[in-house]
Amino acid sequence: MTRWTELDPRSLALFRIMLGLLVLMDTVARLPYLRDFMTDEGVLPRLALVDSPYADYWLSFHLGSGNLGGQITLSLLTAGLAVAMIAGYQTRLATIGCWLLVNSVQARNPFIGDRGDLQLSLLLLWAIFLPTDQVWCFKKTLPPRSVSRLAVAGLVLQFASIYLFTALLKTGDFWLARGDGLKFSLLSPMFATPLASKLATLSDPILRLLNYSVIAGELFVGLLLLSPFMVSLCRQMAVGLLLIFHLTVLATFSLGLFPLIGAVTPWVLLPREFWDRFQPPMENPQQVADSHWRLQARRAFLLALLVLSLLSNLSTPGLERPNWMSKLSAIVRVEQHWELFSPLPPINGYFRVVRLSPDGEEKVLFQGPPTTAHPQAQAFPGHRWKMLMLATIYPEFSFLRKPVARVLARKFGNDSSGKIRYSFTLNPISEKGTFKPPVIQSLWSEP
Amino acid sequence: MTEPENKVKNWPGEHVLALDFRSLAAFRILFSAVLLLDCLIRWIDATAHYSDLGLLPRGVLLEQGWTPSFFSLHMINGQPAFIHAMFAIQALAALALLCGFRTRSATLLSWLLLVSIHNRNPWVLNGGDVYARVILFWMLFLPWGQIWSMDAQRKQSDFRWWMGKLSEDGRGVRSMASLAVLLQISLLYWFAALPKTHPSWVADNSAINIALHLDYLVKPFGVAFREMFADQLPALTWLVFLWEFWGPFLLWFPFDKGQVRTFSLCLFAAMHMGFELCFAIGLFPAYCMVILSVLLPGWFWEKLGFVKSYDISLPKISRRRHQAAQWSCGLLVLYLVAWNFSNEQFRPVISIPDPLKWVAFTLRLDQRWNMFSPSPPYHDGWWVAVAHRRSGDTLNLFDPTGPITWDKPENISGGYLTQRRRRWWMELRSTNNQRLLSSTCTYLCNKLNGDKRSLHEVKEVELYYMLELTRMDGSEMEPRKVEVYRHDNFPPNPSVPVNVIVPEEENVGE
Repeated sequence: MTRWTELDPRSLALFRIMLGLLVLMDTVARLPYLRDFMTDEGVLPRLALVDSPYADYWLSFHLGSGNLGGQITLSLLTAGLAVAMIAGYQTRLATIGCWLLVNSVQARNPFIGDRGDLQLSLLLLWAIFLPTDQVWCFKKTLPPRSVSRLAVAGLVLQFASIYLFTALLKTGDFWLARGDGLKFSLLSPMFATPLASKLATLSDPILRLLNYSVIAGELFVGLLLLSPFMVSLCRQMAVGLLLIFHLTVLATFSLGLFPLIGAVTPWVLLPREFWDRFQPPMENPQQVADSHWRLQARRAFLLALLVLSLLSNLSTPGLERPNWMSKLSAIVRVEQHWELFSPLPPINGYFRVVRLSPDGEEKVLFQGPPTTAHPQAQAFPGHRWKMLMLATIYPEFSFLRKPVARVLARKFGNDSSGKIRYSFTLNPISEKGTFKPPVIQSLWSEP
Repeated sequence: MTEPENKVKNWPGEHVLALDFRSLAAFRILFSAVLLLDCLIRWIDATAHYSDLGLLPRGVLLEQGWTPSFFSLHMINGQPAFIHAMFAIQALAALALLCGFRTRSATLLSWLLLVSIHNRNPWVLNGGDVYARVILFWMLFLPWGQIWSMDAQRKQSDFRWWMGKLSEDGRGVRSMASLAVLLQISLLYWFAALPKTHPSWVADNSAINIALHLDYLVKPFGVAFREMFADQLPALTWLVFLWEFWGPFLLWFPFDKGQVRTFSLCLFAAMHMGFELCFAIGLFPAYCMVILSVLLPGWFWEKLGFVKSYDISLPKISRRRHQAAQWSCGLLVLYLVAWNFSNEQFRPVISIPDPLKWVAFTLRLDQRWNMFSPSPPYHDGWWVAVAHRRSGDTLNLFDPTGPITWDKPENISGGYLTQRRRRWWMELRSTNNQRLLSSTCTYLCNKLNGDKRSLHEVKEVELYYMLELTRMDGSEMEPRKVEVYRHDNFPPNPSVPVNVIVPEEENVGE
């Protein structure tokens, strides 16, 4: 019978392969935007980042060079390490390398990040401490490393906390009082796909039912993962539910790699009973324990990671932490907050970049994303662009508005004469859950 | 030990283009010792020179001194703790080189970190840093860990497929990289001599006398030497000029077993020893002297009794791969020669096309050897910083416990703990570094003020340079007080540049 702190070597190997593939996909997906987001010619030159109050505590190797060549070199290095992970060659080294470089690229431009990035980084961190190279690998570690129970606990708690805290943070008028959080999420053009727009036309009682089902489902999956009883059954159910849930999210919301990560990484929790249905039962390899002091040091480190990540999650609803602790969480990259679409659903509105010619004529360079009122509007230039433009709405990131407007104007307009104006048209929602007249917010105007 | 097909054919000057394994090993040990020392000296000013809390935060560097093709691992974080960690890694890498432990990896890491730290703060560098950097680059292609190393003890050969072939006697390596090292050393001296076109070098031979009057560079020994041998200084000037140009040709002398080369290496070393005794120019002479050791011929080692033969296992590789590696190195050698010519105004004009310059800037092979060229500077001086406290008191910012004095210090060059600190203040004299003046004053004020706000905190700084001009005959004029910068440590009022010291760009002679 599977114990709570047990993971099957085949599940671990699958986890390794999936993580490698996800890192590879992430790296490839970033390639077309390297110049825009990572170089000194783009929207966030290093000068702007290091002078801003948002320079991360993390070490970003991507800050080492400001040109495209340096960024491509680092992308190739990341891709190489991801391939090594998939193949199971020098697995631990490759996993550490991937974790370092994934965090490095995220820290270089934190304004284009999403929760998928955070989840990928956290899972890579736990993978470092797990023996993911016992089967299906090019070169396995000899002798096999022992499975750290604390690392398994950390990984399981990581999965559970994502869903539990996501559910617990869905509070307020939208998600709990009126139950229209899901409806407005489906109506928001920022993330919704065409299918979401169709779902949003369902009747209100059905949408309300779905709204509460989502919260209940997230809570249920979280509890299933934590269950110390019938571990095998609970985990198989959780993996199945998560697969269905994330495939639905994938079909309804455009969230980058997040749904895919959520769908495939929980496969690491598949118990040995699952695999034994397809393969003859596997004998547990003879494992060699680490030396005493290494074991103790690793335990202490893992315990610290566990505590830090738990406290980080608890800080989202309001738990006070000492400053040094939040700093430490940021340094070891376990700082996490899972308020997905909560307590408010995604913002509803659209961006406009216009150029005012010297004779007063206004030319729209970009207007998007498409909304019900403007179905012909342009789509975002990419998922990362969307995250960046959303960040520019917030006053604390106002320093991004000018470079974003300029780069968008360059991307969408050939003519460089005239002044640029960058604005956001907000469709506010009233307390009763109805749309109010649109409000135009000027984000930046060229002086 | 040898594989005949991998040996080169004998010819009279075969030893000229080959580097002996013993010389390479001795060079590795000496060079890494200086590299380690360099690292430890830099470490003293880790926070001040390389962190965001110091004189040059990353933002200021990116505004003022960053070339797009540069890379720097030291840019990835600005916290002092991170910079200290990088220094620890750099010191360990240098130590590994010294011991010959995993020599290839240690060489690559040392080179990466050296380039990285140079790019992080280019205003504290001198010619020695550039020289060390380019020579270390060529060591990526030479087996300097082949003998006298821990790798050799562990029977791990440092000879890789891209490193060329064994020399005729089987005791050295001959490749494009070995040629590059010889050429690089020669280029240093040739292109140090060629731009020396000022009358102080070629007409009245007063250059060394002028240089020995540069108070910020000259050591007490230099002053004594200047006084004692005043009549011989013109002849010495002429000799240095001649030797810098003609001396390198002797390194290429093919018709002996290396005796002429050994003799000329000794003379070069003596010249650098002279520089070391007279001028405070950091590790420049040390680097120059140890780098010369790589050219020591086999004859030298045999005279010393190092005659043991070495079992060298050569990697088996295809002829095509070997040639590709050598051609790549060969192209870089040509590029370097062209780069050096492009620095000077020769006819026909040779210039590197802009699209190709990134190679030199990325690998940091860019170089210019115009020490004291076209002439030594005719002006020097010293800094005075008057700080105003919020309470209205004034104090000497450089020495808060001492009085404000405008008098010339006894020993200006000795007033700085490290050469790199002196270098920083020399750079501040340049016309286009007002932003650096601002960040320097901010750093000094914050250092004095600490975190607490009080009436005693420094609010404003006036930075003066006591400019002292040297006449053509070497005598010095009365110092003149130049207000360089007025700094308000608590803007809204932006800092206002008041004046500049040096009217046009000058070469400060290092």
